[in-house]
Amino acid sequence: MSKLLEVKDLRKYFPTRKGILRRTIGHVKAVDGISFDVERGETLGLVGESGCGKTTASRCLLRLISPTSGSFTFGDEQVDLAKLTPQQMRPFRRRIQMVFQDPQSSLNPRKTVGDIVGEPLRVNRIMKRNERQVQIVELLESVGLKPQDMRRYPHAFSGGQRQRIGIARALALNPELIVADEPVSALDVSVQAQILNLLAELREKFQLSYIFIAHDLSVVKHISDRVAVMYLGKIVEISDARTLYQSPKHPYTEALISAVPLPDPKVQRKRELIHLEGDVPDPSQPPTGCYFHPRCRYATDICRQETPELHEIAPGVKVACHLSETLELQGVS
Amino acid sequence: MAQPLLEVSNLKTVFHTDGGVVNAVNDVSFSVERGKTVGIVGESGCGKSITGLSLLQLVPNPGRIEAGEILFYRDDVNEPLDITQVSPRSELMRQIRGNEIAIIFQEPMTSLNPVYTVGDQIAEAIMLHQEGERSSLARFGLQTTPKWARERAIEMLARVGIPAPEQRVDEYPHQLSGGMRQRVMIAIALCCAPALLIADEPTTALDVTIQAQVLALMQELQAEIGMAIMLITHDLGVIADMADKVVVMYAGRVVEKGSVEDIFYNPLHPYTRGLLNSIPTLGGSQQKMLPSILGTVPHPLALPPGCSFQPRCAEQMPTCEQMPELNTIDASKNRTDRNERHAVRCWLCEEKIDVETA
Repeated sequence: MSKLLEVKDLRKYFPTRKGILRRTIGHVKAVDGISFDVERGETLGLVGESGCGKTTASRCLLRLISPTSGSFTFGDEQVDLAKLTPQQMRPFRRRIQMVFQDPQSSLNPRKTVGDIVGEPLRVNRIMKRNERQVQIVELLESVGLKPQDMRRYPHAFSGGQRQRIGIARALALNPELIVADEPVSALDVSVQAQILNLLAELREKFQLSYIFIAHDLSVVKHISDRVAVMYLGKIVEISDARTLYQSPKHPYTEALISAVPLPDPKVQRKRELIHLEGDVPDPSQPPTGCYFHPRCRYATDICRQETPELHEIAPGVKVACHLSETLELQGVS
Repeated sequence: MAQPLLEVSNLKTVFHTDGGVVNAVNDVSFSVERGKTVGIVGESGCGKSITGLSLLQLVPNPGRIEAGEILFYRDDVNEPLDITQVSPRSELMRQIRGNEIAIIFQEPMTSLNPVYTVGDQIAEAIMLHQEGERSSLARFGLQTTPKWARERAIEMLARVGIPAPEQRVDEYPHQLSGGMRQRVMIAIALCCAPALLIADEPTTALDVTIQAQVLALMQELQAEIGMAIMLITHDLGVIADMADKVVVMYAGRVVEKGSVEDIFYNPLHPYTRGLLNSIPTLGGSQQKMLPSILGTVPHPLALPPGCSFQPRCAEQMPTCEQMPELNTIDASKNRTDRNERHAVRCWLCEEKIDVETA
């Protein structure tokens, strides 16, 4: 497999301002130096609690917001997207597409489904009108909608169907990478399974790569080949999905896994649960040392003073924890 | 045998809309025992929230409870009270709401008043119910919270695990995080030590680690006060963690109910089985495809004939055009408590029972 995307030390700081002059008094480090890569045909899951920077990171990758620093090289050409001007960025926008969380607010209610799905084709002047119609029908069929649906408006569809429309739109330009930001969290359980299956099926069919952002660990496990766990703007652990869930190496990953209630009463009630105290700290005033130490039950002196780097402890397993060698953490088998 | 606290039988809540009549809650029966947790599961639009609101006579317009009984066994009264017979605006209903039956909602930001401090909001519930006296000044917000109510509010905040309650009591909801807000909601709900807590998707808007904290807190307080919980959720993991009994709803009706073991280890209705299969699991090996339920929930104004699940059901047969009854399963007929029996609304199981008895 070849690398499709390589992110190096991506940072996004939002200034906090105060007073009449709106002077910058500090920064919220929404994304604080993350590095990862995505192989072709791979799904990388990005998990973390709200406010950990997973959405900000994805928006940077699409250049919807400009990163503060860092680089991300994309495609065979190895172009660093972070340095491109908006004009130079345009051809790359076709190759990276996004699926949003809320299908209600990401579809224009005054356009027909055909217009919504065909808009990327129209804007990029890829096809003539009549060719476009054929393509739209094909796209709708590939996501499980009917050709006649193209004349209807988004309100006439259920949540799951709307998400299918959003996916069809993302597929229109035949992208290489799809960034899906919480694509199933607004959906009901039975519909969620349909959309997950659809995404998996499309990945095979069109040879897509996904960056799949979600807060639901079981959903991420199901769809991802590798998983990155984020906490306060940093990646604390990244490894292949199975290893991560079976033997987590970072105490935060362990706590996250432990917090997910398993749909099996006997197992769930016997589990030894790790309860994290308190909330995620304010990202404008992160703790010293390891950001997780105030909530970590294994924290020692070194954790309070020094920030651990993300380092490789086994092939494909990277973790940012001082104690990763000594800790025996529990996962789910 | 656990004592019943609430017995709902054949409850029917109907919305008369311009487009037609929606039977949001249709012939729903279940019971809640003292100190126990009943989980109500279903997808959006299945009527689980309206069931919860019906118990408090809080059904929004144009909804009305049209049939059925909600028998509430109050602490000091021998005769059960039928809540459906009480006027929603009556003084009696007000006494029950918040005091004997409390409710917490999914989104704490929208259920808390943004212009009052959390302390005032907790104190409001305490003053309304605990001392009885309501001064007209307090009603218009002209009277400040008396000291004793404020102290009770601080006590409640400490009890739900909010650090530095003396400071937090004077803060506004926007200053608190989502998990803290939900704790404040729980503090408001529990300040009068209700006999029943209705929790409508209490953790859906929260992160998993915060969800775990809130669920643990609810279990702790339940053991302490001995209240019953009616937990409305779509998350089967939460149900597995919390519930003693489970009611599965689909399109306004109960399709299956039973003990938590019945539902998770011996699910009989195809919908229950479909739901259980369609959730991705944390453990075990990775499956390629999730077994999903086809199609979507039917529109409430255009329900299919017979069993509402029939168009999506993999095991559909001609008899499904008629509505099956909610029948007790043979194997659980011997359970002493009538309310604890495993019951299912499906023709497939009907046949199973027939074969066994014949």
